[in-house]
Amino acid sequence: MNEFSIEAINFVLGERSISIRDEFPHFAKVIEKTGIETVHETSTSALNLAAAAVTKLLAQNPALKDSAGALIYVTQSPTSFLPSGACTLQTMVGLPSSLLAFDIGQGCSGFVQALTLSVRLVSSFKNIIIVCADTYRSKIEKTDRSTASVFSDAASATWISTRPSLRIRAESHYCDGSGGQFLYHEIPNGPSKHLHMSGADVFLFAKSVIPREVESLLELTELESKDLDFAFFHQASQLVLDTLSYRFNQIKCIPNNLKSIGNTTSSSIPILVSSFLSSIDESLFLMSGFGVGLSASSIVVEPA
Amino acid sequence: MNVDILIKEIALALEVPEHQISIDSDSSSIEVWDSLGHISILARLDLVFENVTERIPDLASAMSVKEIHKLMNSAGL
Repeated sequence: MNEFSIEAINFVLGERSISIRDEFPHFAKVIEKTGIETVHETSTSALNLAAAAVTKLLAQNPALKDSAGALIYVTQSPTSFLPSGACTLQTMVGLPSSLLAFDIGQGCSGFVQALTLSVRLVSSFKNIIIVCADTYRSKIEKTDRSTASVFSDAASATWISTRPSLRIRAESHYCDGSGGQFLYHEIPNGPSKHLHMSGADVFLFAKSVIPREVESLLELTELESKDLDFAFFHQASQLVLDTLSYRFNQIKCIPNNLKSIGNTTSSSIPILVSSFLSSIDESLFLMSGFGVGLSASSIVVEPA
Repeated sequence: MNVDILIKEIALALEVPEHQISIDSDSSSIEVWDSLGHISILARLDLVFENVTERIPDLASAMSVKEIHKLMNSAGL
């Protein structure tokens, strides 16, 4: 597997911060269970949020603007069936026209999937930008505690380069479309206008499948959980993270930023990792994204 | 299983007084027994009955005290 580096991560949150306690006082009791005190909502599109995140990344890393070889746009909030968001984004942010640009229509497992693809592509395309953006808040029923108190609108932009600092030691992917009805949003004009989530089924999926996937990865890599410096789990909710943290309590650090960020779907892992960028080059760590599909992707990454 | 024990655990999970829950309670009669409330019930049952949801995955769709009680009884709890 190719060696690579996560050079930089930038992100933007929806411009309106919503205090669950203040704006949804009848939801206040759930904060202990979700772990989320503040969610973020945007009035603009996922594509505009994505452009803002990429613009931030390019402003801090100006050389990337001309050297980017590929752009992977992960979203389940497309603004058009065609053209692809990645093509629109290329022009919005002024990236070269020689770019390989395509979309991945995935949610919470999307970043890890895009990263595994990027690592395979990076030797050819040199500098890859993974953009994740979603605006679930525009799809949810505001009286639905299980979604309104959890999801945040956000976008992230992650720069992957060929600098040999990391390597994927093992990966596992899981897909079970029979659980698709547990988290879905129909195309416009369908009978159901709002995003539907059967929280209990998604919770049991996360609780049963993710530990199994992680344990099989550890077995494959002949590692024990105590060998891992970090586990970057998708920031689903406190209940899910508590379950995973209890199961993998020997992992040295399982970061959690739910309280002030919320569940940003595909951006949750890059936003989490952005606080640890200076540490991960020397670390052995796990990334695990899971959710809508149902799908899950997990990787163990080691120093190159 | 004694239904009173189950009612006590459901009340704790939903953070409502025990007297508000009965054998006839379900998600339509208890306001906080929504999707998130049900996750809380499953998490509580897992804690008290040692990962019971792994043995009885149908608990995910059991939205009444009677259904939960029946599933747990049939699993020998």
